[in-house]
Amino acid sequence: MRGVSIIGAGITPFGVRSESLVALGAIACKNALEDAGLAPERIEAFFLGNFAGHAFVGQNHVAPMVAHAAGLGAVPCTRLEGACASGGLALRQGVLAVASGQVDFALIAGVEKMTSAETDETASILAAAGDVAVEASVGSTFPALFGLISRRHMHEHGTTREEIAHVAVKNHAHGRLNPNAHMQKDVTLPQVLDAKPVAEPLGLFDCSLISDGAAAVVLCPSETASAHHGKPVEVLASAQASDSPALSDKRDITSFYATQKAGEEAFSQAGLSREDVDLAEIHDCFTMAEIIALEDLGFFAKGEGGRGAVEGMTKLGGAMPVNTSGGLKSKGHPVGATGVAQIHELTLQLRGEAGARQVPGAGVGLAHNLGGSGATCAVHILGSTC
Amino acid sequence: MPTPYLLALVELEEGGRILARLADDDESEPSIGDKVVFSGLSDTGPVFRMF
Repeated sequence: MRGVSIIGAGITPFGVRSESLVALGAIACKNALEDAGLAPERIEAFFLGNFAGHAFVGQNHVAPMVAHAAGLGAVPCTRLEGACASGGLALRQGVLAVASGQVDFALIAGVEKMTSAETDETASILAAAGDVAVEASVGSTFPALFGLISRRHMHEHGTTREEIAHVAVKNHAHGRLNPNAHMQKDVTLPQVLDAKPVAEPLGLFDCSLISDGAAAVVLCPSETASAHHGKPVEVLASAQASDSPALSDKRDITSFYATQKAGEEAFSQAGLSREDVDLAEIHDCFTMAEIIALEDLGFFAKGEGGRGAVEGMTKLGGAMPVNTSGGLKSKGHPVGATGVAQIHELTLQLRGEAGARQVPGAGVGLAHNLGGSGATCAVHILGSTC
Repeated sequence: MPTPYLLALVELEEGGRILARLADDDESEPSIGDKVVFSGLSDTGPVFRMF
């Protein structure tokens, strides 16, 4: 297997967008190709993360449609669906295609258009990422599942409501610095704690945003990457793991086994330790999800993940900033796009191009993309070459 | 589905766990470790109530 690098990255602003699902995907692809200085005809394979195009806007078979709109040739176009980890799975398939030597240039994108559906309908569509027969059927939504998870984490590990809320405060502070973020505004601790309850103990500001948006990256072999971009970013690890979808089947609902397994595999592939990571994009679909992921990935001992935001370790300027993009919480969460958008953020950071939210000297970044309540997880580790 | 409503992950004496509704006609605030008993079936599956 040969090394793989990112030579182009593109994104659309996240939020309520007027463009169609396909147009959003095509814009991100064109931006990534332009960043790579590559003509669309050079792309040999296209992988697209999209969770629910049909359910949200009545459109299936999205991969060839986006590819056509972006000007790609008659190349293999594949849509990957792994709930909120769809983008991470698409990236991993692209990495494998280039690493194996099957193709030299792969385009990876993620896209979702969610805001044209009513909120109740959106909650129902998203609930189908869980086990419908045993969870959605009893009235469970994803906020409800993560509410249960949060309660248990607080009960078993002593995590406080304030610690959970600090994740929202931190990620909104980061998102305020991201011109592509859906919600570019600060929130205060009292605002988070006093917000309207959604699924207790989680309130409005503990939940990620329903957004439209797309992101894309271009991959090529590392050995030729510098010929295409002055600051290629190397993919040091690409790992994926799974677990049972239903909470009732999990051994412990305060940890996600798929995250632990994918994280261990990623660090093994990269030959790096946790201390080597300069920043991370973590799947904060709910504030508690960030805390659990930081523990499952080994950055904090179990029960201590809440310290990250409270004590400033995961803030910009801290030891390992987390979600400099604003995360799903502030940047937004167009489900199929999220995993690729995390890679877009790390690419900017590792090229030193993240502007006001730049992490000085960023050399290694980790992306954690979770599907459902932990049934699917993709972890990627990227390294700077400049 | 009328809101609010209570959901709980219930551990069964017979083994296994299920996600189920808790009857909300009880004024007590349920918490982790409380005992519940099967109350009946509804349109949304099994319903438990505080023991």
